[in-house]
Amino acid sequence: MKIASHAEKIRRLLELRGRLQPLEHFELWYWTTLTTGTNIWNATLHAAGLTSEERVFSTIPGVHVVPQPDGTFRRELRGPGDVSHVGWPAIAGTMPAHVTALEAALHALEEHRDPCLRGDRRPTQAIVDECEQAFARALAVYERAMQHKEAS
Amino acid sequence: MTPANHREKAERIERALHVLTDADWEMRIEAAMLAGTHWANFALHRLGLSADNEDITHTSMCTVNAIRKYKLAEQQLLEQLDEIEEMRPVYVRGDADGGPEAGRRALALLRAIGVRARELA
Repeated sequence: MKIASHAEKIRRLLELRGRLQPLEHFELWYWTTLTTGTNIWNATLHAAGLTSEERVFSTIPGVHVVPQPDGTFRRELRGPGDVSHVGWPAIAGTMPAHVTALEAALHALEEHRDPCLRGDRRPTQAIVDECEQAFARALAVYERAMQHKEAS
Repeated sequence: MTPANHREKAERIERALHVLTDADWEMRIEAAMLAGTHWANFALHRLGLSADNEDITHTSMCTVNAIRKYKLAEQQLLEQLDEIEEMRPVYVRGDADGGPEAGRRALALLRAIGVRARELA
């Protein structure tokens, strides 16, 4: 998907994130954070030239939903484009340092996904703090990447 | 997870929905997916069709045989969950027009799933 579309989603998701209470609304606060992070990952990969920003939408690795001229959508086998989660699939090749740092931050965020959303782990302030710190690192990388892209 | 814990998670998500607006369609769809899946697991566990350690995470990721079995008992509920799942690539991970409408549809599907699951409580 185009960087501009990722950026528009990131802007709206950040605004929503500010309206959710991290502990009271943990599940939606966390998922909003995670979804923002995935958009950050895809936009940063596109900006680095590591994946295509073609307007096709991610599903499972290797399969994208492709808009058709008649307004319908079709699943197709495609090469590297948007991913649905960091590491799913892994990005081939050598990644620049800022992308490696972003990947680490997003993996730190993802650590809490299944235990807290699909398991019995109860959210705590410590978990919220870990997520906040990981997300802040991810957002900083994204903002620098976008500034660098605009300047170049 | 136990049925009680699935219900607790689903209801926590449902209670947070009031924060979302039409402009938050991605999270309406994701909330419907998350809470709807907890309700589906609640229903399947209550019916004795899956054990507490056999939770589904996405209908699209179940084995074909498992989903066939589950749909023999709860076809409508699982088809409603399928419909929510199908919205995700297009409106959550994609930028197709119609996001606000899709978000409202996802919440309607979640309401229907919740009604059916609560009948099994």
